[in-house]
Amino acid sequence: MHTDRKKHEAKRGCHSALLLYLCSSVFICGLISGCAAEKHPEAQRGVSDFFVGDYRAARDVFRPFAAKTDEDYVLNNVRLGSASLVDYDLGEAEAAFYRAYEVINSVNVNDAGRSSAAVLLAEKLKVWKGEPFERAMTNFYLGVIYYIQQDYSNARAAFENALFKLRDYGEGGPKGDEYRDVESNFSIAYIMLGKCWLKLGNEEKARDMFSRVAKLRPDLKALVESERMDRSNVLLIVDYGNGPQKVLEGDNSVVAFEPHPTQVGPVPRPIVRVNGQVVHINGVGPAPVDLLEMAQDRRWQSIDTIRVIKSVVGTGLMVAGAYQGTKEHPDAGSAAALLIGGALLKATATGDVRHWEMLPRSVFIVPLYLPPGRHNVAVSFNDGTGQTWRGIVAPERGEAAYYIRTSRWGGVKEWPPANMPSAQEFAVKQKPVEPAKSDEPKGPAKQNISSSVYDR
Amino acid sequence: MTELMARSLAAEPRVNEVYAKRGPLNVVVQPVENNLTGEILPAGQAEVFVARVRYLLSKHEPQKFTWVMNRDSYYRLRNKELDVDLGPAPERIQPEYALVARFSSLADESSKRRSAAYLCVYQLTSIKDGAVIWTDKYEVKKTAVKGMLD
Repeated sequence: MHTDRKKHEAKRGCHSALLLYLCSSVFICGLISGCAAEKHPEAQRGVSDFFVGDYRAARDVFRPFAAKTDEDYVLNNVRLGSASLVDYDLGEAEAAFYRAYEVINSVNVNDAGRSSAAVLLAEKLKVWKGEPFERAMTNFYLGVIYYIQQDYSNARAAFENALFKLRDYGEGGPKGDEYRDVESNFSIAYIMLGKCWLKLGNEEKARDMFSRVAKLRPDLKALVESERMDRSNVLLIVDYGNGPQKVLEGDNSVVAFEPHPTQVGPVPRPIVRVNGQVVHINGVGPAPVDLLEMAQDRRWQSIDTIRVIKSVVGTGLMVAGAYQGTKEHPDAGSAAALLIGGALLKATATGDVRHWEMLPRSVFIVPLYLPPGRHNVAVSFNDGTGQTWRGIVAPERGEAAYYIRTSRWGGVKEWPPANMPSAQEFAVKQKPVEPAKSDEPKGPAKQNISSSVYDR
Repeated sequence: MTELMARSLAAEPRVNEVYAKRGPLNVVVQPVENNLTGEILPAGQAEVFVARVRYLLSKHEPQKFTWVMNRDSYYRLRNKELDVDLGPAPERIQPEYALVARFSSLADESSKRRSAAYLCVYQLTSIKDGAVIWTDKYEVKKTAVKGMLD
């Protein structure tokens, strides 16, 4: 009789605990579900505009958000930077990426008060600084913008910074081959850093960068051949595809990146046409970087690790709470506290899925040597994406770099773009970037355009 | 830093010697050369570090220096303000000296902190023969503890 009563009480305690768990979970999740969205969900309209090719509208949407110094400040600035870069407003793109760069590289952004609030409530309260690969891409794009503007010192600094960060992120994990793998995934920064050193007249450092790329990625060896890099007078920086998207999985406490590279297949090879003629450029084909792969690599992730740990702790507390409820002498207060605490932790472990939606899947670097003058250059892929620049300038001396974002809406664009200040072309024409190192001509002065001209 | 540099340049005996012999020095100011490791120096900031030295000298020693706009800025301005491209401008005052600044850093970074020793070198160089008639430097060390997600 006595045993039956105890059993009954224990059962009742268990039921109470479970009821408490359910109630608290529903209540707390209801309270916090709003946190899963970003601070300004209306910014998603700009993302949609970007993906349908209306870059001007996208910039108009992002601009006011990028000026607000809130948790999404960096995110909205990199979004604005992406849209402005495709729209070829280099001034706005530089300013936006620079603002993001300043915060990413600053200290005390997530100050003590903010950080502790973030740990206790929701990680989203921290300023978004992106995953390591997103931070690296911020530095990379900033470098690209400086490179296009022929500001090689700052471009060098930006590319160095991209690599600098990657090294740093590698320190927390096990040593050994991990560091090498991280470098190999981000070879584009090494290639561009090598190009910068060439422009700054330091061939030794440039060769060092190229040889590191060749060592880390033997399939890129032909691309980074020093003479080719030195000779090119046109450099195409080509973005292909869509980068990883951050989603929630499991009980909404695990963050994952989609799609997985195996779901979408390998990155196709670019087809480059100059004045309608397909040109084969040795070494241009293998994707120098695949952000979908990088996103799956835990060494390039940061936030989901914190998230998983919080989720595990939350589950542990709830199990302990349920156990309290089933004990012979259940402590209803402790059980409730543990259950609520556990539910709270699980609820707050709702993953932060803010991410930089506009990242490409891959970036191709295409060095060309073209006869000085104007040319039509098109880059396309076998999935129907591409973009054509009509009338780009191949300078007689120095090098002109052009950014291309291939997409289904890429179409044909006229050079110079409307947003480009006229001084830019003036600078390309008037300002020889590097003095000729010898009297010998670097390339054929006059030649019929054939694939051999480009593949040097 | 810029005040120290301006004072140092104005007090340089070789500069005063040239001024005493040939009158005001025609000086062109170049933006700072960025040799910093992993740090960007935007165009505006790069110009400010030397522009302030120029401002202080033109305020306190107006008789010693004639400041000439650097060629790129000059042509950019002409290109922006005039409707036609006039080509080279022979009437532009030809500078004899260049005031240049080079910023370098030696960075040391770990997962916990980032420290850098900055070296800012200013030089007044003769454009004609490359002789450096004045140089001075400013050094500073900065250590920063990284933020939570750095």
